Amino acid sequence: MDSLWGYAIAGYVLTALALTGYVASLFARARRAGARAAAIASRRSAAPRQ
Amino acid sequence: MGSAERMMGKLTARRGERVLGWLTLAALATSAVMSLVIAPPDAEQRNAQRLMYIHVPSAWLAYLAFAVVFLSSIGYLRTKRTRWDRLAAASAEVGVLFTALAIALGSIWGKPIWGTWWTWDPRLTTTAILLLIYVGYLAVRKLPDSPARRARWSAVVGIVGFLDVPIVHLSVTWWRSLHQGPTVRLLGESTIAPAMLAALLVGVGAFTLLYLYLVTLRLRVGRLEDRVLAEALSPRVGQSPESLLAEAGEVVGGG
Repeated sequence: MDSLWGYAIAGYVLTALALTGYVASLFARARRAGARAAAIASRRSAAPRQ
Repeated sequence: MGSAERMMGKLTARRGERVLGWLTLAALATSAVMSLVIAPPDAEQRNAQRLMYIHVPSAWLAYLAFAVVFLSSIGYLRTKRTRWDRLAAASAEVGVLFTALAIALGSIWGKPIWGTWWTWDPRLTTTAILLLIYVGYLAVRKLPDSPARRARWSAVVGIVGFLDVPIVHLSVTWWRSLHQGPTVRLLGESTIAPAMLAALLVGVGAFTLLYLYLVTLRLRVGRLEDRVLAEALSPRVGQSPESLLAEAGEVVGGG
C-alpha cells in the first residue's frame, strides 16, 4: 500500500472549496438582501404620499 | 437614544462576527497543521486515515446542528417567536453542509480502505437518509405558504427528522457494519493514540467555531431577508417596516 497522500489531500481540498463556496454564497446573499431592502425603502420614501 | 443603541448593537454584532471569523480561520489552520503535519500516519491506513480529522468533526457537528434544529423547533412551536424559526433554518442549512461533507469525505476515505466509494452499509445508509430528511426540511421552508404555517410545518419536520440522529449514531452497534465502531469514548478507554486524539479534538474545536460562525452569518442573512419582506409588505398593510419586524420578532400570528 502506498502512502495514500492523494486521498487525504483530495479530502482537505474538497472541504476547503465547499466551505469557501458556502461562506461566499452567504456574503453574496447578505449583500443582495441589504441592497434590495435599501432600494425598496428609498422607493417608498420617494413615492408621493396619498 | 433608541436608534443610537440600535446602531451600536449592529456595530458590535458585526465586530463580533468578524472576530469569530478570524478565530475560526486560526483554529482551522491549527487543525490542518496538527492533522497533516504533526499527527503520525496510521500503521495500516497510512495517510488516508488523516481524513478522520475532518470526517469525524463534520459528522459530529452535523449531529449538533440538527440537535439545535430540534430544540429551536420546539422553542418555535411553544412560543411562536420567529427568532427560533430563523435559528432552526440557519442550523439546518449548516447541518446539511456538514452531513454532505461527512458523506463525501467518508467516500474518499472508503475507496482506498474498503475498495469502494459507496456501499449500502447501515451507517452510510442512515446518514444518506439523514441528508435527505434535512434537504426535505429546507425544501419545506421554500414552499409558497404563509410564513406562520411554513414555520409550523418546518418545526414539525425538524422535530421528527431528529429521530434519525440517534439511529445514525447507534447503527454501528445495532447492526453488523463495515464502518468502524466508536474509537473515542467518554466513558471507558479510547482506542486511539494520544497524538491522534489531540489532532481530532483540535479538529472538533475548530469545526465547532466554524459552525458558530456559519450560523451567525446565516442568521444575519435571515434577518436581512426578513427586512426585505417587511419593506415590501409595508405599503400594502400600512405599517412601517420597523413595526412589522418588531411584531414578527415576537410572534408570527394567524396562518
